Amino acid sequence: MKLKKHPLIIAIVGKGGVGKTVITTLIAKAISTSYKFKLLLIDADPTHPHLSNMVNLVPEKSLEKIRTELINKTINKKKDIQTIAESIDFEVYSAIKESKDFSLFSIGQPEGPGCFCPSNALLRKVIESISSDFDVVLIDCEAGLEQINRMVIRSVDTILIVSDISLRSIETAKSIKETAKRYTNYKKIGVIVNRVKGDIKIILDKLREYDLSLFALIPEDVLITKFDLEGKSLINIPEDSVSLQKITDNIKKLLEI
Amino acid sequence: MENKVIIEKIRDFLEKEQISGKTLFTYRFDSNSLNLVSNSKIKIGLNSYNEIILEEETGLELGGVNRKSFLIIFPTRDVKFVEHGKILLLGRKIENIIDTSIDFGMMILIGINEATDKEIDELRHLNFLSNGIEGFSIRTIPRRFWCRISTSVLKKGFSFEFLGNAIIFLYQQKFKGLIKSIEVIFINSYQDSIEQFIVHSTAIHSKLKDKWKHKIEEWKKKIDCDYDWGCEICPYQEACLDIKQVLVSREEI
Repeated sequence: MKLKKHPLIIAIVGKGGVGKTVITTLIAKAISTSYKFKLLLIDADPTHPHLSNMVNLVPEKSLEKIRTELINKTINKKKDIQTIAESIDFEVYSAIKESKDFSLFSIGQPEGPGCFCPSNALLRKVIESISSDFDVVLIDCEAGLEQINRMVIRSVDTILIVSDISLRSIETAKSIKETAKRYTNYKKIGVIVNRVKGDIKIILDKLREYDLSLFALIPEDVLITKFDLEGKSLINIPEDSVSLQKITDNIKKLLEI
Repeated sequence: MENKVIIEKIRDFLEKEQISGKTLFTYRFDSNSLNLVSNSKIKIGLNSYNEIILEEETGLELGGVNRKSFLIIFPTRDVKFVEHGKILLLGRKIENIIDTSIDFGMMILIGINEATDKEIDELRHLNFLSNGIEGFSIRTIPRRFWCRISTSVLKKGFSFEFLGNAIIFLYQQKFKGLIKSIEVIFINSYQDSIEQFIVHSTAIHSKLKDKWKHKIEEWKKKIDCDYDWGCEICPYQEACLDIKQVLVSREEI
């Protein structure tokens, strides 16, 4: 399969607790199993940075750490501006943890004081530049809408909104779509309904009412619960997992824009 | 400065380096590209080798974090000043390198037909080289260079002559009809040569900077601010201005 857009940037968003990180992990597994794409995962959830555990790849440094160091270097004038500018891409690149199947980069939890939007803008430019070395970039976003109009996902191609079978999370999906329309230039947006069980007609009706296209229905998966309880990395989930199978069935559709 | 003068300066520089006793090898592109593809033990093909070379698989790193490096892609409409198929190596052959990472610079001179800004910009994106050569992976760092060559392709005889040939071959494949001539210059081992080359190539960057000035000015206006640019109430104004300067400096690289 040949990608029409390079790199293809996919953001996984949604209300808290709906399973965004699980879905990101399953998509990563499905892509790396089915295709030979260079895949970059960005753990962009600063409050619940679980993606690294799920994919069993722990970066040594986070973007937040680099941001704090950048600010300290400039405040303390430890290095001249030109040197800092020349080294920032190396800094960010060295924070990427690589494996055979994919690479991972973590935004990290806020450490230092101050809101330096230029530093965010600078790092966004670096991430955009580094992303160009990859074929597909999957961003596991934090809950809610904040990141859509802020740092990491401005140049996103596809927005995948993860929802569970609650009406509240469908309402959130609606808000996310509206915000995304205003702040991003996405080409495709769709909803993954996660942990599906029983009759979900009301949910499907709501999706239609809100003009939200359905990407996939992911059934409740006992294997995921088992992996979670046993503290195992989800990336090692066997291929007979019903949720992984469902994601794999739809992966080609996800990569097309 | 005119392109002709820039290229002449670079040639003079390489000649002087050779006269001073440094090693300069000259190779020629195998114009029968079928030979290159079918006879080489190391495989080449557009979008065929998009692997990431992990640290443990790396046999040799060119440029990178703690090394001197440069990357200059210089498209010019003055086609006749580019010696098509010429590959120059100032420094050591791969088989004589004992370190696992070396200082490294690469310049690619490209003679082109009339082209749009977008097409010229695309010539500078090297993913297709990274994804087109087995066991070879480039990391994009503005103006600097960083790439990994795997141990397995080094064992198969990866050389700078091969790399130069592969670069020319892949450029011709990807930009059919656009490229008229192409020449590749590698510098390794001599840190002073790399530093001097960067100085000599300043004129190229100045040309590019002029071209991008307008773009950068436009882009600067788009930076968000949580204080809505109320700098008088912002407690971080000084650091903010410094970081903005870093940002601009990086854009100018």
